[in-house]
Amino acid sequence: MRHPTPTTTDETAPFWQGAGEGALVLPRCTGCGRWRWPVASACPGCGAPLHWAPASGLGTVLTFTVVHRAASDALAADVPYVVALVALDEGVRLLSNVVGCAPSEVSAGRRVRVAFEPAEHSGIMVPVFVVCEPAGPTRCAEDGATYVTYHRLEPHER
Amino acid sequence: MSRTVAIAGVAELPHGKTGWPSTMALHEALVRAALDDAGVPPDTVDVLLTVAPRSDPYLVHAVAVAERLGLSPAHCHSYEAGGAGPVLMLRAAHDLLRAGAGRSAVVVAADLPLTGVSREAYVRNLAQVGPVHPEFEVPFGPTVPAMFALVARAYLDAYRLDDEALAAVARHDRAMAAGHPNAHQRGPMSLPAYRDSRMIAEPLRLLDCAPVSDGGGAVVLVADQPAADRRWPAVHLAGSGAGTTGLHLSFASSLTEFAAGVALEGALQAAGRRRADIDLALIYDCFSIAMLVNLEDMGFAARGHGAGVLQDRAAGAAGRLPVNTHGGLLSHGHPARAGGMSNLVEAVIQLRHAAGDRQVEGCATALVHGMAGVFASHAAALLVREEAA
Repeated sequence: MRHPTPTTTDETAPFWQGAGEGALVLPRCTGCGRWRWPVASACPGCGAPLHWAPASGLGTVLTFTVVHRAASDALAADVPYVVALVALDEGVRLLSNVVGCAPSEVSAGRRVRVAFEPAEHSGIMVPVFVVCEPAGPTRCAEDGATYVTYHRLEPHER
Repeated sequence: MSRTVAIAGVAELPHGKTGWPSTMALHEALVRAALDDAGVPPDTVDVLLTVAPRSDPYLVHAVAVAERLGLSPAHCHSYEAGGAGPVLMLRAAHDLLRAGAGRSAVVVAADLPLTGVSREAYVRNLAQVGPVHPEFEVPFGPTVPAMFALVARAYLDAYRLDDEALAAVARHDRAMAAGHPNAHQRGPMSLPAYRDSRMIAEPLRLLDCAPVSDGGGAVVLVADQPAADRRWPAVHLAGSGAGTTGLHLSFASSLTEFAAGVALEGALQAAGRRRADIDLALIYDCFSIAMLVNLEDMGFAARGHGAGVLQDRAAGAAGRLPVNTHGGLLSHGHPARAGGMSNLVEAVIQLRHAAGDRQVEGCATALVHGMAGVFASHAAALLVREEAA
């Protein structure tokens, strides 16, 4: 997909740096251990500072849409494309795309894992998702850091 | 002693592609028409509240509108509250007059997304300042319809419904719009015609999306207007409320329940009224799914049953809650930044018993609902006809 380039800030540099290295890196509370999204300076639950930590990259499609009328001229060549809300195993949600399969293969409840694709012009890598095979990875461990399944899509998979 | 503030004037012009030469010309026409309707001299306007069209580069749009009209209202502000703006401006104008800030107040919102330079600015800006997060949502190409489609898919899945629930909203609003001279889309809509309309973002079709329209409206409030000067039965703001979840769907705690009910509860409490007192509900429905979720969040239907309220009504069943008698945003029109203004104007016209063939008999209490973004922020106002106040 011809991903529009994100408007990044210095505050979120670890997210994009991680994505560039094939890792989904998200804010996690140093106090209660919960994963938090969006970015904040302190945990909205317990008030402790957040730090950036690698997530499993595994999740489940909560809801999705197949877009037939593109958001921009650049994306018009990519329709129909799938926009989905993915519930990560860490308990936070990402809005992203499900790529590498026909839209008809996407459904709510489908297990997915993260992959990365470059945004147009900037080349910034953005996290997208591919469907897991039925016998694919299971739920990540509670600490989130031990089962890191990074996957960078090869051109033929895009 | 607290002052009595009433809505004394309203104005609306036909929605659609209009050919107004500028947004300012449209604002001027609406304000003058609303002041005429109220029978209030322009030089009594001490409060002027507006929503800035995206195409207008003024530092404070309301002050530019006042300048255009040759007025110098002491209180001149513009609101950034999306489709909740009209209701929140009404409340602010009401409270300012009650607090003694002036004699009369004008609330106006209008936009020209189909006409001239504003059309280009509208299209360019919607992508930049829409309800899509510039860093964590934009890279994935979600359009505004796609954001609502994510909710629609979750809703249909949760309650095991098909597209008939969505079609019921689109068809209800179209049937209502047929009787309103200012509505943008008035032709009949059959279920096959609905299903023939092209897919925009599954499950939402073109006819699930409000049309982009030129248009808007204005309302005039007056403090302590002598009965002899009134041209219409006074309409009062009995109470208002607001509720907010968050701006971006990525961070929403629920995909099928938002804060419209919080806004309504606040309004009911402030007005000392019950849900059953409401004779007419004007619901913000920029997409068909918005009507269903908002009706259910406000307790007018059980979860998953919002369409039933509309289907019964369309079938002519008596005793059910009348909804969007002007055709809603879906068929009356969605004038970009002025979305939701027509809900307010329609409430006043119905409470005056001046709605002609579409009049809700005995309408004494009307709910006006407004919404910003993808179910992000809501406002609700209960307006009452004089004798019910």
